[in-house]
Amino acid sequence: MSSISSLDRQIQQLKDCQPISEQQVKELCLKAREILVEEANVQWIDSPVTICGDIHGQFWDLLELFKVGGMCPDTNYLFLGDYVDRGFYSVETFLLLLALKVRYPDRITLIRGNHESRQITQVYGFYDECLRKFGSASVWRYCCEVFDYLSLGAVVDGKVFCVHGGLSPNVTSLDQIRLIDRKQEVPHDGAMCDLLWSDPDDIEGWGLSPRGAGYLFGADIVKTFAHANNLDLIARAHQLVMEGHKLMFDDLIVTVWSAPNYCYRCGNVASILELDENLNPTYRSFDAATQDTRGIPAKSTALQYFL
Amino acid sequence: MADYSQDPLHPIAILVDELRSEDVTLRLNAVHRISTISLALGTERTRTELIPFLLESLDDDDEILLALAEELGQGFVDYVGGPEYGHLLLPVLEVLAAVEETLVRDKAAESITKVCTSLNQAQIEEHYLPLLKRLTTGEWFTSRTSATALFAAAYPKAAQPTQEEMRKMFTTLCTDDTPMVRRAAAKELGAFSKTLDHDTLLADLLPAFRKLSQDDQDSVRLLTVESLISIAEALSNDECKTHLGSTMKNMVSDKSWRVRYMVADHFVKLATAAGEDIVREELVVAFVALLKDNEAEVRTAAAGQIPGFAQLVDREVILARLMPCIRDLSTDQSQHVRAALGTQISGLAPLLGKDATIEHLLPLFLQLLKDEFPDVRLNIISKLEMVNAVIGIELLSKALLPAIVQLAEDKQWRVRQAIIEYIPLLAKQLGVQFFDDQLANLCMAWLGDPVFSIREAATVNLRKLTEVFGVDWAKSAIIPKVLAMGNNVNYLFRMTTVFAITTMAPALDTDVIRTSVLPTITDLVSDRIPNIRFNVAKALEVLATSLSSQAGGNELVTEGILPNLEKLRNDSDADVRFFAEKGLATAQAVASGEAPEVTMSDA
Amino acid sequence: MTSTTTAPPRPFDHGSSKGIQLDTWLLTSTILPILNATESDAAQAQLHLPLPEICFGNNTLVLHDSATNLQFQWNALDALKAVGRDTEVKVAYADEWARGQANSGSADVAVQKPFDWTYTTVHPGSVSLSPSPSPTSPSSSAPTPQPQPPQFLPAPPTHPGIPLHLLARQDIPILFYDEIPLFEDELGDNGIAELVVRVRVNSTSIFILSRFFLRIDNVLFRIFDVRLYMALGSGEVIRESKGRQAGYEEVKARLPFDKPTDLTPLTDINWVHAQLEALATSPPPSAFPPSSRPSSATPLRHPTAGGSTGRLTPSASGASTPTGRTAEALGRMDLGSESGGESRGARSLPKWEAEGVKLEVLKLPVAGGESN
Repeated sequence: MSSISSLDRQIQQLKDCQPISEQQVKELCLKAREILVEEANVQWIDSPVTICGDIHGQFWDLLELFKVGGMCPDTNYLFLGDYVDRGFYSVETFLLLLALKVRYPDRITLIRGNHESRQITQVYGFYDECLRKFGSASVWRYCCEVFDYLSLGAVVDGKVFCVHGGLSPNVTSLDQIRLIDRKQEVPHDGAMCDLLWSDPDDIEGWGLSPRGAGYLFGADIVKTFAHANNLDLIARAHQLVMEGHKLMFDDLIVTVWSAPNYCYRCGNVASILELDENLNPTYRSFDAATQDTRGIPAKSTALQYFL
Repeated sequence: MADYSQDPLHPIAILVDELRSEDVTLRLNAVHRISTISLALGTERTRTELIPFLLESLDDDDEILLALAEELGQGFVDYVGGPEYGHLLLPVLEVLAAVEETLVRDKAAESITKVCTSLNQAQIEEHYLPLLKRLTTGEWFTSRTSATALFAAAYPKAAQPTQEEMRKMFTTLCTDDTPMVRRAAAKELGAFSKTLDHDTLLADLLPAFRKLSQDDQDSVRLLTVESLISIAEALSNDECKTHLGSTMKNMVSDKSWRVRYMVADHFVKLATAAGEDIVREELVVAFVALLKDNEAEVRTAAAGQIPGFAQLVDREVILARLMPCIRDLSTDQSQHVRAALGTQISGLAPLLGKDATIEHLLPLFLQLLKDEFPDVRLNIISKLEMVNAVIGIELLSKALLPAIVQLAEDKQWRVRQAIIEYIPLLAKQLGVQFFDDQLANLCMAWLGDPVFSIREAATVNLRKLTEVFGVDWAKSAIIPKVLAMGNNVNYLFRMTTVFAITTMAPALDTDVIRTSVLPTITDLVSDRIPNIRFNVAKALEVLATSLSSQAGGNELVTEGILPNLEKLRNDSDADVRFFAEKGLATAQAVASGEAPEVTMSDA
Repeated sequence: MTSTTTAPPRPFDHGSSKGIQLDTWLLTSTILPILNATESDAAQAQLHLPLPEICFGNNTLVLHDSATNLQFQWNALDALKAVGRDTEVKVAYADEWARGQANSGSADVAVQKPFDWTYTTVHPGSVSLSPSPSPTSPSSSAPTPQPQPPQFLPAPPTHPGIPLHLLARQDIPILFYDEIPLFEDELGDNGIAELVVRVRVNSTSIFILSRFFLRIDNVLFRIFDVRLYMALGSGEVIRESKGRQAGYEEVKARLPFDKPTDLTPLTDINWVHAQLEALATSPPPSAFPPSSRPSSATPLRHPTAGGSTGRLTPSASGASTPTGRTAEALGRMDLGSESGGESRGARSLPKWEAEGVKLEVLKLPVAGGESN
């Protein structure tokens, strides 16, 4: 009971955008791992549930999301990854979601995005932010250990498959995902990598990214996969869309994006996908919270004298 | 200097180690611990070892230098041995006050000013003045810029001849070749002027100020606006008119909009400082000009000053001179101007009184409530209270109700929220009949809003309405509708029913709870959605609490609430069990006659 | 309006578009949200190119002269038209990835729609004749035949070029400044490709810099700058185009010798620009790599020294640039076991025709029959 009330206090503190102590982070991450280790690679969840895409450290916009969709635990949530990097509040964003996960493990599901990785977070902001806000890399390290335990996907009522990136040529059935040993850093290749990285594209079959790494997949691939696994819909995130969500391939796959005005300058709206108890989908869109402009560095006048 | 390299545990040795680290975080931490280190060293060694070491370590990242500049200003005087040694901090800060990075320089100047407060006259003459001279005559504009900020603190402490010298130094800076220095001087002139006596202000500083106010750079001129206010505050109304009148006029018609913006943004302060003669003779015209300015930014700033300035003039002037401009602003092409007007216009109502408000302001409200830009609508609604106080709700609602009803369905959920929050007040004034006819359906419709926060606000609204119109009204007008939603096939509606019951519970009596609420709640105990079930548990807890203070409450808790919670505590879902256990503890206390501690439902 | 001559410079701001009127020149910058789905589908179909992740397709910078009807314009779609159909450049771990692909039995999967995924563009801005300033999207301007605008011609060898010494003077006030992002792509978190146009106007001249910047982690850096300068009354517009590229390791080797492990500068576009410039104009790295930090003999940076930006100054690209110590991680990302012992210069750079500097001049036509 006392651990629950202290957890409730931490949640309140995090909702106010106040980071918790390093020791509290350590304990939180430890408890989170105990919960996450029990979850399947593809976690089974029940409707109703609200599905959210990339957040990227836009903390005030996450609060806006909760205002529109309802707070956890009243509303059940499934987040599709990319909690951290790029925004200014990756620490508060991920810790709030993690604290909610530990407090209400059945009400919120967090799966892994390609940014939940040691390598990526060192380049795109989360590592830096931890160092800045805690003075050491320990908090970053604790969080990275949690990243390794996050599920790779989820399936709602057996009908809606949810994943951060997309499909993999090495995975034709959901059961094959269950065989992956996921407790590791995101590898550079293989099924686990593909699930977090690949994108749908207007092509036939599988395509290789011109970058020399990564897959693209066409409508036929999605149809075959959905049919083979008896799915109604594939929900994924990973790609910015101006309208907050984008349906493709006869509405068989949808991209959900939940970071409004991405990077504080793209001007896009965000969306969440509400699945009711009969899996009827409703997309709710929302704009950026007005507070999110704080903390953005002001332009210096010296810049104006560029050469 | 002592050889501390022999003793690796020596505090300075550790500091040196850390300050030489490649890791900027380590260096930064070291600087932030510098007061701890000097405490360990004692005051003498801080003076003889630490300070010289710091002087040699000033080639570092700006981040580190900034931290150092800050630390030295935070009571560091004590660590060198108190005020009599305070001047020893000056050499380090002097170097920092001359670096390239503005943030470091500003912080250094701030710290020098803080150190200055602990210095005596002799120290000022012997140490501070030479520093000031060096900075004032520095080769690079950076040091001269910093110098401008260092006069105000030291001037009152200096001997008279020094004071004269300081005034000369400052006026030299005011005519510096580099615009950056003149800008800094213009910014600091106000603070410095406060320390001068009346005559020297007029004789020495005023000419310098005038020059700055006519500078050919608008970035300099715009910074003189605040200085003007400071000087005006020190002068009599007549002196203001003689010495500052033409400057004010020039500023209002400055060719740079930035300057005009600055004047507009500070107009009330300026007018207050200048005195009522100038206001009447000059500033009404000036203000009207700013309200009609070509640049939207200027009009926005001026619109923000409307009620403040209106307070300084007669009612006739408001009506004859300001109202025509305000009318124009309400249809301004810039949404920002209209939004600014939206927040401010209500402030005129108390000044105009009831009749004039009805005649002049109400039409503008109506128009702004229909503005295409949501911020404008929101700003008007959030300030209606002021108008209400002047003209009364009946008139207000009759005039504005159609517009309000329209906003109740606004696309922006924050606009809808603002309207909801205003409803209970409206209801109280309008009375039941009017409310039932005009607003009741609206209030029920919000319960099905797509946005969670609106549904939540809608339930709070129902409780407030129940408080206004009484339980009997609620029993017939809203509770049946709320409970009917508990049978909806969509779980979100059923959820809203539970939320509404939880929120309204404190306003309900035993009878309503027994006959209407509990039957529905009991059905929802076996809802297939766990989120409904644990919210039922929460609702039962709140109901139990509110029953505890009512006649027959204990029995109803025993009969109607405990069995439901008993059932829920054995639920398959962990969260349902958790909230059922929590509710059970409260309900059992009520049933056994103990007054439970009031537990707050989730915020 | 064509005869406006001595009207004072007049900045304006209408929300999403702002600008300044300077003599007969009207400069307008428009900043809007990224393309919506319909717009980006249309653009994609027109360009036959997957758009960059963040595509500000409605942003424009238009410079129009009412005396000559000459118009210069920058926008994302025009710039993306210049992106190539293919490239030999691959991400750092492409070989490793290909091996993994072969092992997993998906070796037959090939690139279906090849394109230059680095989005390298050498587009210098569009020049046209237009009776009134038209910030139209390039798609709609195609069919109507328009008179040929005057051409940029190679500058004579004696031409002094853009007077950078004048532009460097911070005591000349800037009347208008704006930064217009056109596109940005994180290359699937393998670096960054971005195109940003910046403009500054003082009372006598207009200066525009369009900069394409590319960083592919552990592979290469590339910058393509187009600078356009117009001084009132000079009768000409000067354009300098400059392409620079260098290997990732080559640039990394130029990190300040006193802080060789702090890789922050590698994400600082201005720093990288200075290194590419130095690499292109000086012999290969000597034993004494230049330092961006002042030597200990001159403890404090002087305002005129320029170059090294302090930590506290926000970098030009704002929010998206990893700051602080992130770049250190770029170094740690070296995949340890990579082959090829002699790393520096061992991996050959792709050939890039745009490398080098080109100076051109456009003579402004005499305004038709106007006498003012």
